[in-house]
Amino acid sequence: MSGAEVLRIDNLSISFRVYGGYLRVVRGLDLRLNRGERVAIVGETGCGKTTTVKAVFGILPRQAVVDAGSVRFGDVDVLTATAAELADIRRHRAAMIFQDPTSSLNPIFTIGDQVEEIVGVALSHGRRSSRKHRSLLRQTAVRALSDASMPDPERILKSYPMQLSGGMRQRVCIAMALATPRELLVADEPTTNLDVTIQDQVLRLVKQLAADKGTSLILITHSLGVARETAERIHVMYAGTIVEMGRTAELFESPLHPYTRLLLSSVPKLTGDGISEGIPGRLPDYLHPPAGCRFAPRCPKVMPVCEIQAPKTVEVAEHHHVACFLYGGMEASNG
Amino acid sequence: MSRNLDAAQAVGLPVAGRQAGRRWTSFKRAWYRFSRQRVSVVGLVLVVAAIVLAIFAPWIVPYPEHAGAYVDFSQASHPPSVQHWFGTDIVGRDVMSRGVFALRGALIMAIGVIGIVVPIGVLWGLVAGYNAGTKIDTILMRTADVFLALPALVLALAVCAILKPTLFNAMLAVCVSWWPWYARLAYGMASSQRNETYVSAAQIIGAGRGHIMFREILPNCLSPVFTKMALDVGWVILIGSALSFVGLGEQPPTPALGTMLADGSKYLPELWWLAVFPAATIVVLVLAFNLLGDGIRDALAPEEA
Amino acid sequence: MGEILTVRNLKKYFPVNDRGVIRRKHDKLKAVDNISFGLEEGECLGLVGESGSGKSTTAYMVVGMYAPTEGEILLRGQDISKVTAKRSKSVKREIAIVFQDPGTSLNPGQSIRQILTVPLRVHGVVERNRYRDKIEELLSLVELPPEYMYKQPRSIGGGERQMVAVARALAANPSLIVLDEPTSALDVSVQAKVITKLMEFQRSLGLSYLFITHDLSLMRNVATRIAIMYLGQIEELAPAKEFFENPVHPYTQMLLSSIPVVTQAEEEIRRQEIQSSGEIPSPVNVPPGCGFQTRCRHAMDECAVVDPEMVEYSPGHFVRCHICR
Repeated sequence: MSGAEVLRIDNLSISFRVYGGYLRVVRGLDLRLNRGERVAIVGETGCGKTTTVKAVFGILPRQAVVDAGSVRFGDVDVLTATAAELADIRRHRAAMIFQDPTSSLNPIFTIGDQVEEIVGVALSHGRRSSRKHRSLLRQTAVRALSDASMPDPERILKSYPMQLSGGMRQRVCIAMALATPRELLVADEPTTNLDVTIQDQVLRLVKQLAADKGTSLILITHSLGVARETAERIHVMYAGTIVEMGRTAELFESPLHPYTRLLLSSVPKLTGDGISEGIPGRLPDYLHPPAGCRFAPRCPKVMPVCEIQAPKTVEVAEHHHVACFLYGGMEASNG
Repeated sequence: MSRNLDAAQAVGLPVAGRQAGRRWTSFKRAWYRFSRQRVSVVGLVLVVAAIVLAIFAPWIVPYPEHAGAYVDFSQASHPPSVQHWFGTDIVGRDVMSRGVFALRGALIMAIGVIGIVVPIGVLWGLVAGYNAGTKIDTILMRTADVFLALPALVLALAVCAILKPTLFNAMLAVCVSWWPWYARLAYGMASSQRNETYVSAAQIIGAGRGHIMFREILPNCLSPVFTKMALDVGWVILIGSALSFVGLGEQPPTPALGTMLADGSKYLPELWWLAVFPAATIVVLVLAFNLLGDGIRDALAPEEA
Repeated sequence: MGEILTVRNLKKYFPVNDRGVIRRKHDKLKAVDNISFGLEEGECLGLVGESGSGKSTTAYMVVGMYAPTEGEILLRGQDISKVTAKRSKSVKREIAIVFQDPGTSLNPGQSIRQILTVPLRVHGVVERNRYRDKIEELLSLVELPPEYMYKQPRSIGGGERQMVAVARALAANPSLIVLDEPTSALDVSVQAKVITKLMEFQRSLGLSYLFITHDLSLMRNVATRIAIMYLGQIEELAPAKEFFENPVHPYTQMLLSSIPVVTQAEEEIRRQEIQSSGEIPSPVNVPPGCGFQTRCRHAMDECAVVDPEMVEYSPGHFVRCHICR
């Protein structure tokens, strides 16, 4: 394990207990993240991307069961970590921002209260009693907001969330997340609820701030365009597995997996090429998932083997991996 | 959380066979939610048992004639035994048989009151909620507020004391003070739904007021109403027992739980069975309806992840 | 062919912030502030804007959810500038709407059969005993299996729910459909399916669409003409191709440069790399002059004082900006 590796997920499988059985959502997921890298996980609703990152923070819901695999955050095995180790990760080492900044912020406390609370927890201070301690918190909060290029940090700290616009709130959340040094920032659809011009600004902020602070970034999104603008490497996820992973430029120039190609063609383009018909079919039934490749029922290039076995990931070019029998992986049979 | 449920929903949640989505399936799922709490099932069983006993009382109980005017001093004041499971009272009547017959009065009152109060209250609140913010709303709901101020038991006492103390009068009094609670419940649900997109959609299509009130809004108001109904039965039984306890409910020789309790309490602690069994019956009955009500609430609750 | 929908000098002001005890003054939230446009029969007009632009409010006035504060809405020349309650049934039959979120626009307590029966019953599209057949027909039109009529909205996926909403909109044979961000809440592959179907219906049924959205890339492929709204006013209106080849208004240019694209070819179309800056100001008590001045890189002194007029920059291409003169 290299010292520069921040996150390592191996063969992760997660299921959910529901009426009627188990929803086998995430299957055999691998992911690596090195220090300072910016990666994106691109997938549509229900593919399991949020579930995966919740496993990283140890915040999976009650009904979730990890069937297999491991999640290593630095030197800690998250799935078997103690409460103290998990607390350490959440307070000092990793942070997450969410899709809806309005529900991420408590409406009855000022921004300042909330930022200082996060900072206080991160700096592992006990009761905020001494004046010196409180002024340190205040200074850190101001610095966090100004690092995030927010105009007039003092005024914002005194404001309540409802007095700020959606874009400002999200910027506050980003500033809070990176107020103290972190190894990892996970952004779960951070701009989906924002206007396009604000989205542009917020994404630029995330990129720049993460780079300034040396924080690695995982961006979760359903938008290929957003991933293209923000990430160096992109993982395409479908029905709980990573079907393709590659460096941004290469992934868009030569997408390999049929799902990636169909997804790309579904995006309306400014060049005016018309609207594609989308992808026929629907997500597989997680309760009774197909035996072989999960995309097989909808795949235009399906072959007989696809319905029997799940393809293993193959390295087609440097840093370009794909899990599809079209590119081999047949010798790596049932494992 | 909703994401993962989306994944499940995206494929239509699981069912046996092809009948996906039919009413039966949603009943099965509701039953699953209901039965997750075992006590709810206990409540259901007890309630069904009580209703069956009440309906078939004359054919089930060992001594049906004891429910009327009957004396047999040779059997008086016997403690619980094989012939008389709950013992006999001071004039020789079997306590258990009388208890089962007393269930009739209790359940009739409860079901009667609920049966009147719910349709009136819900309709009232529905109309007021649909017209929320207008004069109609103000008139309807302030009127309901006036009736809300009447305490059920006290009003029932007053009515029964002034008019004849009968089951009917007791029911009437409880109805008069009980309906506004349902009006309020329905009002809350209806007035918030008024602003939902699906109501606007129906208006844009051109649906009239009647359709919107009864076909769009009303179905979504029903689950808290059902839950409250089950819990209220317990309350009405208690009120009925309290009324007969002070002699203002059903008159003897018709057995009533409250009356039996009042009479029996005079003989504590020697003839303990005269008071304990009626009291226990009241407790178990009310508890059963409460458990059932909780279970219904769980069953009707939207599925959480 | 003519104009099926005409909007003239339309305004919608909402009173907010009750100030003062005795005088009782209100601030005015100018959601829509004097817009005019026409929708030709059979065309798809894209009304594009971000939040606070007034596009949804405009749509709601067209369908009658709100009554205009001022101005007129005409359906084939007939004045319909009122709330649905005051509109005639035949007008309500002609105009349908598909809302953004099918989770709230379809009654969760009803089955799909009940949902689709509503327009059939209200407008007497078919006789009672033929409801079931008609619903099957509608479902197959949107490529959903007939068994779906027994399901509830929550047990089917988002895209399918939206197709039910589309089926409902088509049920009474409307002429004009207002589409309020119909695919914004959907995944991109599902969006493609829904949009393809919508465009098919437009062609085969001769429908006119008023398409509200924030997604310019989508409009590039779907709209006949595009209008951009900002702070309650139309800033630029042009045929689709012209709009993208020749965006004049600074806001249009800012929007175009903010869109995340996925191909190199699209990057080249965007040309200028303009960084978007600033935020939309509050539509309450808007200062005089052009609404975009606070974020505009071409802002001049005049922009803070005089409201720009809508000018025909080139045939069919209208712009509201002081730089075009």
